[in-house]
Amino acid sequence: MAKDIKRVSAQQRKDYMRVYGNRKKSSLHDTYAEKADKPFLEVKDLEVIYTSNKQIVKAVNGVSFQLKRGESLALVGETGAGKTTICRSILRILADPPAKMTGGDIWMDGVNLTDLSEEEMLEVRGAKIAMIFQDPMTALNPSMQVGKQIIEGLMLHNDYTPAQAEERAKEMFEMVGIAPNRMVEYPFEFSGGMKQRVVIAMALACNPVVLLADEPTTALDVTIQAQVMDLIRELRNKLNTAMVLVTHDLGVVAQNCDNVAIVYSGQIIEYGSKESIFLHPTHPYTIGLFGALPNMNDNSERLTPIAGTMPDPTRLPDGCAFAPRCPHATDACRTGVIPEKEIAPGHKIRCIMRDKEA
Amino acid sequence: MAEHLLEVKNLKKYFKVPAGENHAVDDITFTLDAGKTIGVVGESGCGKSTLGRTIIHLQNATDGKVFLNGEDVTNVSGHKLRQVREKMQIVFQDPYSSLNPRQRIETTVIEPMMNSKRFRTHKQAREEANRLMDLVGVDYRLRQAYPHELDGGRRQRVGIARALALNPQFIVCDEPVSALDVSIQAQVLNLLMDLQDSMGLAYMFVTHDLSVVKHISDDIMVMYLGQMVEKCDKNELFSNNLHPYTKALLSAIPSTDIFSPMQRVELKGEITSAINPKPGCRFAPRCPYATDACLEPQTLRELAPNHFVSCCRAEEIN
Amino acid sequence: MNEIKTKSIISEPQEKQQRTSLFLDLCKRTVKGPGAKIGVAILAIMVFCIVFANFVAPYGENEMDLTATFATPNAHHLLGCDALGRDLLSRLLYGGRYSLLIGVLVTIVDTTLGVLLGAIAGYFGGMTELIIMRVMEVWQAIPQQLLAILIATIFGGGFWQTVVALSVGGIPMKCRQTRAQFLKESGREYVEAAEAINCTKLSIMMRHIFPNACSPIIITIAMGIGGAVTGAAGLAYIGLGVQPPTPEWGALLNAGRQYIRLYPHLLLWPGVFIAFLVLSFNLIGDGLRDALDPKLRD
Repeated sequence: MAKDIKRVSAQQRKDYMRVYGNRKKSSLHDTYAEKADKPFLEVKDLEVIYTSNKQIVKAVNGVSFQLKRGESLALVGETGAGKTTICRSILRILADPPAKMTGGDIWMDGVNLTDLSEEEMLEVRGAKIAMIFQDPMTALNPSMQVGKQIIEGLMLHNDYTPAQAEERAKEMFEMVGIAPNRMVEYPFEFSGGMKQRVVIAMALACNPVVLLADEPTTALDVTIQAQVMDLIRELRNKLNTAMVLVTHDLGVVAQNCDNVAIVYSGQIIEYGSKESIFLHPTHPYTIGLFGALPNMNDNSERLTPIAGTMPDPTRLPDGCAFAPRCPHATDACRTGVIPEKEIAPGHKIRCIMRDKEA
Repeated sequence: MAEHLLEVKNLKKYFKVPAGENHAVDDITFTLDAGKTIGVVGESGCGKSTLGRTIIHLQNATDGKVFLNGEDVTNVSGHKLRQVREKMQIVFQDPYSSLNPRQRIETTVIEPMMNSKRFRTHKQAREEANRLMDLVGVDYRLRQAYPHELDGGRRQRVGIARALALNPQFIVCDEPVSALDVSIQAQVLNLLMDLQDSMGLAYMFVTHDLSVVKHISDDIMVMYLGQMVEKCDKNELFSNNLHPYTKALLSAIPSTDIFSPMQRVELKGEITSAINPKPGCRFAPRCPYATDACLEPQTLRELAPNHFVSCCRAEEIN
Repeated sequence: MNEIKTKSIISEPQEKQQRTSLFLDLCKRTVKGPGAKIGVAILAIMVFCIVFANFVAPYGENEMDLTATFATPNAHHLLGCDALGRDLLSRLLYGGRYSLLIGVLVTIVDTTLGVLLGAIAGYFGGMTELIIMRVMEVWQAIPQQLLAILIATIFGGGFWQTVVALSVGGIPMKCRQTRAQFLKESGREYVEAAEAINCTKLSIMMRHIFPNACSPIIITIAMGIGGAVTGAAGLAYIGLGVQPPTPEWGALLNAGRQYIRLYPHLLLWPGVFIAFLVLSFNLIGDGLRDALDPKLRD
């Protein structure tokens, strides 16, 4: 098994050299640092469809965003809005079929990930872009010692000797606050929070430049959630890792992200810095989302829910997908494509009824 | 005696597990009046769901008493149990698994009425079921459908209609909104509050989401590993909490206020289990203030009117 | 209850109610694949011809034509005749009634008993379960065919004896399967919900758990009929099942056995009929499995 992986990885290394030229690995991060102010990850007009029962579901519908080194972006939205699909398409791990990327580019450090071969992609996954899943069990092999799982990943992406890899794995365990002597244990011997720590250690072991965190704390209790988010923040600061955080918890967003993208029916309907979104939410959906949230700081009796439910993704309405639930919708909202417009520097919305920050 | 709708006294529920005895609910005491809500918060495994299930007799209590309208209804059985259950109902957490997938929505709501013999004919029961579904907002179109054809929010409305069908006085809401999206969650919470206003229902609202519990509750009980560590009015809990665990729990909620970074009370380690617990405070191993006195059994003390704390150092640390 | 201010969000009584039928849905999904379509077609043709044998069969069940003994297939006797000049096709069609009926009866009996025992064991657990399951294990230790032969030997040959002999062997498997399903389902929340609304134990078992536990049992039933038909044929073939002159297919096989070298068609056609019937049930069973498998939904 381990030998197999080594053989494959030698081949991958060759491919990697072809893509990135004859560059030494240790210097990779220095190069990144030089371009700190340029977008490092750029998603352009991403489109993903799902085919089920001969019906076509537009899961992601023209999503674009950029991410600089060390920056963090929150994708906020409800179940089925397409947040997870966006993350999966960046890593190119969509289940195909039924999902298929039908358009768009994903640029990372000057390389278009959509053009890479599957072998080249293997080198990107884990090493440069790592993902943390909502359910830690999906990322862990239940019949393999957790230490071995980390070492396996390290050997795959680096020129480590087994001893070096083990050393690095121990380091990572200490970093996430688990005693290294627990490396020989199996996933079932860990509690939920501990498992998520192991997954984080695994994700960050190869010093990835981008971390995709898909609801990393939704399955955890609040005190554990706080610990895990602290840990992620700390490690990101240390490694200058950019992060895409998928969540529906606005509190987690407020404490952890620089920019926020509100996703509704596969589109980013509002995008801006954390300050502009939290202080001047402008799209009616964003306003609704804030209103629907029980607020710890005020004592209002009733919540103001958003009426209705998410539209059936197989029959998305024409025009704005939120129009059927929107209190301000007019006939103009129900036709054509709603363009994106900038209402303040860096603050963009897809709504024709609003033209300045609320 | 009959001044409270529900009175729970020293309720205990122990489970036998291979490793010994799991003290899932240990010595819980509280009262609840009609039209009021008690919120029960705690982390997974703290016994909050078991507490709800034990009160409404889905599980037999190991020890302690439950009084309903002043009447002792602990571990009743047979005809009496059926009567008691009509007064106490439950709304489950997961609307995906709490509805029988092979039963039509309308049948699901009619069934409890037919069981209770509250209506003589099926037709009457059906009318009542339709009235209830109007009330909770289940579309007419969907009443003959099966649960898998409904989304989470509507399913939860069906679950609520089913609980209301027996005309109960007290409903245990076991995390009824935690499986729902934020915008739907608000709809269901508002519905529950409206029903409470109009029907005078008492709720026990079990959840791990503190912002939800603050919104809906009158009193809040904080549980840790089967024990009640603090219980008081909701505003008191958020402004003047006394137990170190409550402090840690509240400080861990990520605030939506982007300008105030969180002031966290750091906790060591993780929640363990309540299997064969030691007699002292169960929070002591993680508590930043723990001393030797904490290893002695703790008593619940009323430090202010309606403010109960189970911590021997509560005065010192505040 | 007093007046309530909450109003339903989108309630329009004039609107048409959405009423899907799970049964029709299941049927549609079952015949989605080509295999199940073929299975249903074969079964439909066979059942039609067997049920209406009076009209379809060219000759009577026991009608002899001594001029045509051992006739090979020809224009008058499509599948030939046997030693007494009886038309083989007619005998196969009439005999199908016995074979099919045995198959259906055996499955009904063993499923009813097996499901009942399994449901009790799975729902109540404890001592009841322990006793039932241990008995089933001992029972299952005896090979099914051997058990059938044993019972058939004790009670002698005949239609009802065959039904009993074959049913008994199938009970343990159905019981184990049902128990496993009941164990799985009874942990689900809707069962707890049913308890909370004062459903009786019987109602919880029959109205709530059973409809959700029956998917794999339905598949076993479809497959089981084919198995019972072969089982009955097997018993008849060794002379322990339905006795001649009843034209049960196994009995026909048995009767043709002695002429296998001279007139192989007497053995061939009953074999073909059995094979097709079993094949059709298996194809339908596969279709059902695909239709009921939650992983393959949508």
